[in-house]
Amino acid sequence: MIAMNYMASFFLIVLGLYCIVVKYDLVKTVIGLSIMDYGVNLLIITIGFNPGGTAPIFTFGELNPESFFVDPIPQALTLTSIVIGACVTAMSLALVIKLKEMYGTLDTREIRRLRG
Amino acid sequence: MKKYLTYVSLAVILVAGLMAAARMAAMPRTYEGQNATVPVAQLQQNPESYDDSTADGAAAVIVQQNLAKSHEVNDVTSIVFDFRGYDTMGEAFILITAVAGAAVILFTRRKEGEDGKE
Amino acid sequence: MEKNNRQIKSVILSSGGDSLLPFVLVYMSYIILHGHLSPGGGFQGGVLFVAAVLLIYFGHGYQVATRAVSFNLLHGGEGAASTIYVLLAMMGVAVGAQFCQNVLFTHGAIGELYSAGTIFWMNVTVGVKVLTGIGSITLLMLSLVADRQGGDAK
Repeated sequence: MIAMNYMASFFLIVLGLYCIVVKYDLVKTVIGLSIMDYGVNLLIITIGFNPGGTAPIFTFGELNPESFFVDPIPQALTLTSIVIGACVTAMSLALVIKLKEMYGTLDTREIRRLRG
Repeated sequence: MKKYLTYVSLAVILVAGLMAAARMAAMPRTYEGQNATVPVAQLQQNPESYDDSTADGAAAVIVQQNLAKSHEVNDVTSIVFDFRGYDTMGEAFILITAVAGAAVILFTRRKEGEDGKE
Repeated sequence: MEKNNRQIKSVILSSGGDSLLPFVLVYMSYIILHGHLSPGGGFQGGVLFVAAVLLIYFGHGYQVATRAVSFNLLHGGEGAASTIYVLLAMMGVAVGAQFCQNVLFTHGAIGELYSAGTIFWMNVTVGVKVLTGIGSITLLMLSLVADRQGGDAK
């Protein structure tokens, strides 16, 4: 069951890498970058899972004498990583908007020269 | 020829990743909650009775000491804001940088369109 | 006929958006304020502000949205929230605690709404910071769409 999570995260990483390397349209490159971010976040969270454990919150009225927690540290690190992924997407989309105005097209086979 | 090499190398990375995933699922867990010295229900009744002498990592120490040191019910929030608050400060700076960068890139176009900033 | 159609569509959009707006804002405040009792907190709640901005934009157009949520106010608020976060983290350094340590934690019982000292105030501050940051990026990108369609776009 946990092996399925690991395999899905590696599959997402390779899918994002394929989109960045092979596709010619710039919007598809930005989408591939985002997919790679989500794959890495899934990998980090799955590392700290313990089968049978509950969420690491001391809620009142729900803890039995034989319940135990999952690892809370990877969840705290993933919160920061999600925000970083969103900020990278926002800035790269701003660059794509500027490129479309300057060159008129978003095909990477035709955007080859730096203009001053 | 270049396309053939690209696809072959991506397939090699995918197969290596799937083999690593199968091997990672069989490794021991990072935090064994069942071997905690003081059970979680007892920690909720009496927060001062923690015992972290046989801890095997940072997660065991944090789960034991969290209620006594900061009266905080949510473990993840206390890690993000109290035990590792330095990382949250750096992440707040990333937000400022992203907004400033996007504004610089997009504002110079708006100035010539309408009277944005006078 | 076309003028009638456009008026009917805009009445539906604006009234629907106005009815949903207070629920979205209350839900966002609930997630931010109860960050230390249930899953959530500042980051998760601040993103819901984009939904409120989009509801105003779809209902009333770009000019009304800019007047309601101005860009300069959001930009100043983001810097102020970041400074307040650093000041809250340095509050215990004078008495010998560490950088972000919880120094006001004896004020309430465990499990109440105002209980965890500096963590509660840090939640609200980071919520305001994410709210203003992502809201200003959304306003910037909306201004480009409104410019291209010639003035007041819907």
